[in-house]
Amino acid sequence: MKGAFPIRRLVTYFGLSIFYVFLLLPIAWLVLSSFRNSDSVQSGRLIPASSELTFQNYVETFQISNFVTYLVNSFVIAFSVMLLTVFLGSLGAYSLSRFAMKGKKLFMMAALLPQFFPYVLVLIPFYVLMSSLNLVDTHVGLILTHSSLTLPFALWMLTGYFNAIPVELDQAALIDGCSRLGVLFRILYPVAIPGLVVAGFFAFVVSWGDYLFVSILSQSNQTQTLPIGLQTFMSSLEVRWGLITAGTVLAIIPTVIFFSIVQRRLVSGLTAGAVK
Amino acid sequence: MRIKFPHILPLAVALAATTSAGFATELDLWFTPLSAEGPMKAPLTQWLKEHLPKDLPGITVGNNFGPPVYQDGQQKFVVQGRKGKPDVIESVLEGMIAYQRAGLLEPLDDLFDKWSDKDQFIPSTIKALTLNGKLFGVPYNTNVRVLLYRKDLFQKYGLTIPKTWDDFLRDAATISSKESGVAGVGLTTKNGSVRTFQEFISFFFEVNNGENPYKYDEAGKKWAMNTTPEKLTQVLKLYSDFFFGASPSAANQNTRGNDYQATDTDYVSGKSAMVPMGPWIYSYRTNGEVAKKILEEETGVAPLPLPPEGVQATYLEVKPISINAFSKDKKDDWDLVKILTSKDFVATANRIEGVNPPRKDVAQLPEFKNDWWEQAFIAQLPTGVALAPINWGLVINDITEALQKAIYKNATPEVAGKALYNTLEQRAKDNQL
Amino acid sequence: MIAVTPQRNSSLSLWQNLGRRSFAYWLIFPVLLLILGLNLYPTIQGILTSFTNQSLIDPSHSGYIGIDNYFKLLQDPVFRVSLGHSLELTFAAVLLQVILGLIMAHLLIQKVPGIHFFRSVAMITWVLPIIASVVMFRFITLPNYGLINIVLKELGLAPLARNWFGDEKYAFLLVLIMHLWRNVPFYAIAFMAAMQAIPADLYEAARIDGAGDWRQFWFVTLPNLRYIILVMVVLHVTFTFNNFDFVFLSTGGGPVNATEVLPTYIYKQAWNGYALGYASAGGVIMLVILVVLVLVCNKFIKGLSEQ
Repeated sequence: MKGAFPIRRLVTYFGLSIFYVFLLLPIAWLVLSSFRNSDSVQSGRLIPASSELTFQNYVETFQISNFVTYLVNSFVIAFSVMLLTVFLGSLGAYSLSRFAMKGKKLFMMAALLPQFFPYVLVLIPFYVLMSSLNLVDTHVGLILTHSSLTLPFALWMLTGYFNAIPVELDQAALIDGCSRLGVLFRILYPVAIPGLVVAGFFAFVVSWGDYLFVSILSQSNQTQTLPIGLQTFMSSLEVRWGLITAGTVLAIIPTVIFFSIVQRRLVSGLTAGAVK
Repeated sequence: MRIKFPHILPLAVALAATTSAGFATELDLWFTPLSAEGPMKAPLTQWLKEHLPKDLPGITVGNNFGPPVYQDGQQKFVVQGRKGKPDVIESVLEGMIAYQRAGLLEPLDDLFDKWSDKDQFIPSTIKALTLNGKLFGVPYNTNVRVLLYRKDLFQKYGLTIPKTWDDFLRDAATISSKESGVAGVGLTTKNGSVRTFQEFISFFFEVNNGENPYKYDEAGKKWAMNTTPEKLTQVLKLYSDFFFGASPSAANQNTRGNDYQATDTDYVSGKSAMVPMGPWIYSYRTNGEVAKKILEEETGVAPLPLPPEGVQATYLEVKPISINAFSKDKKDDWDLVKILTSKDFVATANRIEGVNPPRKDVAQLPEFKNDWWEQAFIAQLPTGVALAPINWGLVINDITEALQKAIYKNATPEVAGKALYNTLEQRAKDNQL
Repeated sequence: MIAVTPQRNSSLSLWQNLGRRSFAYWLIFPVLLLILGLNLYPTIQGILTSFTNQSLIDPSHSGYIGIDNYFKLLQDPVFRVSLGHSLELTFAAVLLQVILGLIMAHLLIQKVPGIHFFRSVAMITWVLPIIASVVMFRFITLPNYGLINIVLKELGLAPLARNWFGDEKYAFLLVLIMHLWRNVPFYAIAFMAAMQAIPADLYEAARIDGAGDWRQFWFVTLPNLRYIILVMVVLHVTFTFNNFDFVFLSTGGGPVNATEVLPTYIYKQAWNGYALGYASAGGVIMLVILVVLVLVCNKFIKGLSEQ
């Protein structure tokens, strides 16, 4: 596999191009269409004339909808979920990785169990629970909900990460007078940054993309996030695809930017636990 | 750039100002056109901002108007209504029936009877909101389904307005075959869609003597079937004929599964020549030159064509405003209901949407009286049939599923009709209605 | 697993020792509270509801009816169709994802110029919100001006053009394709990382034994990937079987139930029909199936690690 033979390279590029056309074409078509005016989108032609290109869809998206509100809500919620997941997840992982305690295996399994619960089964009791806690239609309610979805993965992954860090580091710090929480923040955090980034990014993506729980818990513009905005956009815009595509592009830009920042770490981080 | 939410801010500030005056109660109102992105939102928000402080001193209304989609609001109100929030809710008839069944609505008879405006409301709309002898909502909007047809295309091919289902199928097929890129008829056929159901039930009412598929059996104290498998089959056969009765077919086979947005846009962009439709489509005039020309110059309004021995009947839509039975301030709630069904508010809301006013005094206003569109629909209002007060949720799924079986050739109309009858009967037996 | 046992330090009092021990519990408590409080409680509530005839719009007539709901469900043809679709979709999606993931991973470990670009953008489909993926697929499959139909017409294949999501034969296939589109790159990246971790001398030894590319893949690569394959399979069996968004947002289960899966079927029973007991019974059946599927996979993992 030295890549020395041109035939081999050719086959590789050919295979890659099949995969990447399939993966990227829908995105490219979406982005292109978001810059075409509505006559152009509906013309049934592949390549638009340059006179048909416009920013109008984006301008109108902001004019006729609450897109800014959706964007702000999505950010506030996804960002908080990210921080909460990394913070609580690392506390739990620190506990599981560094302390002897009864029921450790039980805790690990209990944290994983809810991953297998069908969402549709929990929805109504869940809604009743949240409404008796007065958390329906609040940011806090959504943040806690999303965190409960992202924490199991974070807990497992970070435990694996911490386990891989030599205990001698902690002990040296403890002897130097570092507190037990200090060990987590000063010793483990810097070493485990790739893991923390992945756990945080994963939490962000799950929260940013969630449709089902937001659709249940959100009742007003105060808490609606982009996926809900897009869904109402799609059903109330009289199929004006120019606007729908522009809205979708706006909804994916933040994750794409975030992704491009962390993608190097993502590949190693996501798989580090599994490969071992 | 104009961003919508600041519109609510001044309202909130205005409301906050009245709160500071002292004993203000805050009411929670769910009103979909005020929360959904649409042509109604800005003008109605403005109207409330101007009128509420003046007409309802001491009462404030929360500035969230509930979920922006009816079905969503329905699901959530049924789960949380018992907590007393929202206090006042606007809904569609199918939703109001479900709320009443869940014991969530306050009967309004006493309050309504004392209201000086009560005689302004068209009796059939009040009757539609009366369940088991009690009134559960006050209407602010009503409409019926009619046939819209393209006058220009009818003239071009020497067609006359179809009176029977046979004419309807034949004329539609004629247009499909002669006018390229245009289907004779556009229909909504998405499964589970309320609009699919509303179109189906309009045709069904014609077959079924203007009556609902279920009737309350006083003796047995439960709902019983009020139709036959043959009648359901007859309607399914109509749909099947639209898609397979001629070549090229009356309705475009590629539009099977279309939701209401596609039906609406196809008509206003000239892709279909006839549609069963309500008056809201007129608001598409602002979509562009093509839509404006089609709606203002080329569209004719006629009653839906009739089956052999059928009666003129159609789906009557009524949108009510109701009070939560678990609300704490029912007197204030009623004051809010009165404002949202007042002459001025109804006129403002109906004018924007192009739908028909349920109030006689509004219908007498020049902008309604002299408007050909309003009048064409108002003329059909008496043929509207209100839905029976049952839980329509699962029945809508059953009906749209049977309809899809027929138009995807999954079953013959006879088999689908028989199966649908059995399912509907089983629902009655199992007390699921 | 490494653990620092709290040092039995004689200079610490009993209380300090106790505090030290409970410290670990305090650390993990908030995580468990959130996870279990928001998931376990509603699930138990749901399981209990499945034995009642509770209805949201008829709260007065709620009572214990044993396993009637389960009985009725198994007789409901739409439930059976949905169950079949859910199993087919899960099986087909996961199987194809593993195969395509392996192929893509194999391409991604080749050291050709520009490969870093391919690696870095690979997971983009996985990070997008599902609603955005659905918009894209609905948009490229539109009857009149979707990309696929435009291309077909350009190629002179106009009769093949259709409303893809509205077509009984193709709607289910599209749902499957959306699952592949989102998840195959995730598999590929995970497999790629695992492949890179395989010691090179294993391949060297195989080559000395005269093994060609294909035999190397079969006897060296694949055995070393078994663990990661099973991890991905468990993860995605759960994801696919539980997924509601793809179907609900793209077809709503239609046409003619052609794409109805258990999550959408149960959702409709609960939120449109208000039949809580009945819907919960459907959810419990899903839970049981999932637990069985996961236990089977778990057995595999255990069996492998003992080898």
